[in-house]
Amino acid sequence: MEIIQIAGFLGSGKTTAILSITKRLMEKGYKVSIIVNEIGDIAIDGKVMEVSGIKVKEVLGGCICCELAINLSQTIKIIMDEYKPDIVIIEPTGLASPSQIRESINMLNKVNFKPIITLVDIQLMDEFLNDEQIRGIITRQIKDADVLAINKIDVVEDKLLLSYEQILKSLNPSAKLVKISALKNIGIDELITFLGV
Amino acid sequence: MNEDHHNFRFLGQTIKITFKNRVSKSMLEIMFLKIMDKISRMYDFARLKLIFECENGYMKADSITIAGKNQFNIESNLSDKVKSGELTFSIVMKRDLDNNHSKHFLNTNSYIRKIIEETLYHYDLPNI
Repeated sequence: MEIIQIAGFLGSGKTTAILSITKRLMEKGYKVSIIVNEIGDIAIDGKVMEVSGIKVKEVLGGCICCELAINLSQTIKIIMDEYKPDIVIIEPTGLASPSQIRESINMLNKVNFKPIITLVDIQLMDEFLNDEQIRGIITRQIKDADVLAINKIDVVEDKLLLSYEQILKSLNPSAKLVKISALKNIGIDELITFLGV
Repeated sequence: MNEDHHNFRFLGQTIKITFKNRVSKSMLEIMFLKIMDKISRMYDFARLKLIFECENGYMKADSITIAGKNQFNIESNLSDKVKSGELTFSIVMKRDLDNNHSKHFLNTNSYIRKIIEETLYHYDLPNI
């Protein structure tokens, strides 16, 4: 079973990207299920995913990168037993540390980890990086990524895009860069290619 | 819990709604936009999600506000007017009381509920 983690700060477009990716993977014949994590007790995204006919498990009331790490392992095992998907996509909270999530489930048997994708909201990147409390979270998510997906490219100018590409490359020189618009379905196939599925 | 998670608060609630009259999809959209607009003016940073669910389907909206900039998105699979349903909201805010108006921050759930009810009333869609 393959595990894909799609990380990114609050509002970066994780749910929209996951829906696009999942639809493509299902069209290719893969059986996909999704784990959605919310630190709060209220889940909204899972409801919308289920409407699309996707099998979703929600982990609520904490973050799977830290205090609910054990719950994540258990949830993956339950999904493996009950649903036997080919691929599980994890949507962490917008505050999560992607590398900590991978570490917490590294011990699981019969799973293969695909590259960590971190989505970056290009439209609000400046504001996030200028915010003292948010900068550290975003920077860690960028540094943890194997693939950096610059999202919302349809609403920014090419000049701005180029300057942010340089910033991202300086923060994580080894990550692959892909430009997408999850909402407009731009770049999703290229992103899936980077996942190797 | 990661140290930086403590810098944020996570709240939410579900409100059962029965409209006085059946409400169109476009009217619901206007109501969602109004709620998101009010929240974006209230907080320096806020991540808001709203979903209205009923037997005909759902309408979902989400917005993010930071430093005076605001993004939002609305989607729906509703095909008909709605009479009743459940409106759920979740909001993530920073704990920084200097940047968030403390008088609203102390009881945010009630405050957002009030915004929703005022917005419904404003558009003559009172929750009965």
